Amino acid sequence: MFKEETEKRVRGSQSFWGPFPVSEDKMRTVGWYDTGLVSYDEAFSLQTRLHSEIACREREDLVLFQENYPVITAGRSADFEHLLWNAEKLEKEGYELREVSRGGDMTCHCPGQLVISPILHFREYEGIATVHDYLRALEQSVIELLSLYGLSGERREGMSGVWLGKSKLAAVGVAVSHSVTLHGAAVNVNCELERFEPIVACGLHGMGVSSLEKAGIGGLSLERVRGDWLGCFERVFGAETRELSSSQV
Amino acid sequence: MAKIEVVVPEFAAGAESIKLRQWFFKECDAVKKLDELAECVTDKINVFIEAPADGKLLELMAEEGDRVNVGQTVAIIETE
Repeated sequence: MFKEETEKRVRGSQSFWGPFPVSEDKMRTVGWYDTGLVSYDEAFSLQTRLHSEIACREREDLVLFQENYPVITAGRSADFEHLLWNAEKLEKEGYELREVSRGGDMTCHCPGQLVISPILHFREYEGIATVHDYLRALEQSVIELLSLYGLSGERREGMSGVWLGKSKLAAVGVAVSHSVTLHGAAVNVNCELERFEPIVACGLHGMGVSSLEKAGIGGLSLERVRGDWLGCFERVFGAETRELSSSQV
Repeated sequence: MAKIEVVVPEFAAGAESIKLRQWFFKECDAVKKLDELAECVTDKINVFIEAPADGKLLELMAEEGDRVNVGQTVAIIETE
């Protein structure tokens, strides 16, 4: 649904990964659902249940979107020296703190950030044989998203996520359980970047955090960015997507 | 009874460095096929190692915190 529109709009972007041509009969259908603004716990509970159902082949692969109330998440490689505020201050300022099963260090989720969690049998997608391949494809989908807005996002050697110059615009951290992915990417759309003050974002001293709005791309809703990213996802992963209703999740 | 190797999966390939973060079972524990035995991490990715068969976790061949490689045997399962 989104692929054709995205094909027209992605111009001049260097495709560092994919897309890999997929014949119509091999194209997968991936559902998607947006929780809207919810707590991290509520969203992760849903993600965990959906992951279990997908791993057991009780439902098709799915992308879960969410927007979270302020929360600091610490990944499996987290260094708590990168948490600059104590628990009391975090609570006073309205943050939750969670240790989570994804790779990576500290990051912040907050309103104005689109969190994207593909829950996929990743090795069943054309050109993706390893978790590293999947990570590159996920990063590429975000790079192509940025190119739609005229921004040159890039990977940085040895650093996770998608960057705009010296500032990280999207954090990426994934997990694989029973050969199905969890977690994914968080794209800063119009969030208050001061929200990242409690942490050394992703453990990277001296590197900044940015957003589409800060980069001059204002006026975008999370729904618009979601739709644009789905087009990029369809193109990079060789899939078609369809929206699921709340009764279907 | 047979002995089956538990290896770091091929799909973890491409990571610069993989660390075995945590074992969820200990030696002599009974395990079932697809049980997640251990958690491995890279800088961006978290991967769980599954049991390839039912049996008893006979031997752990890597410790928590060890750097491991794709295809490396990290445990032995004795099947019934």
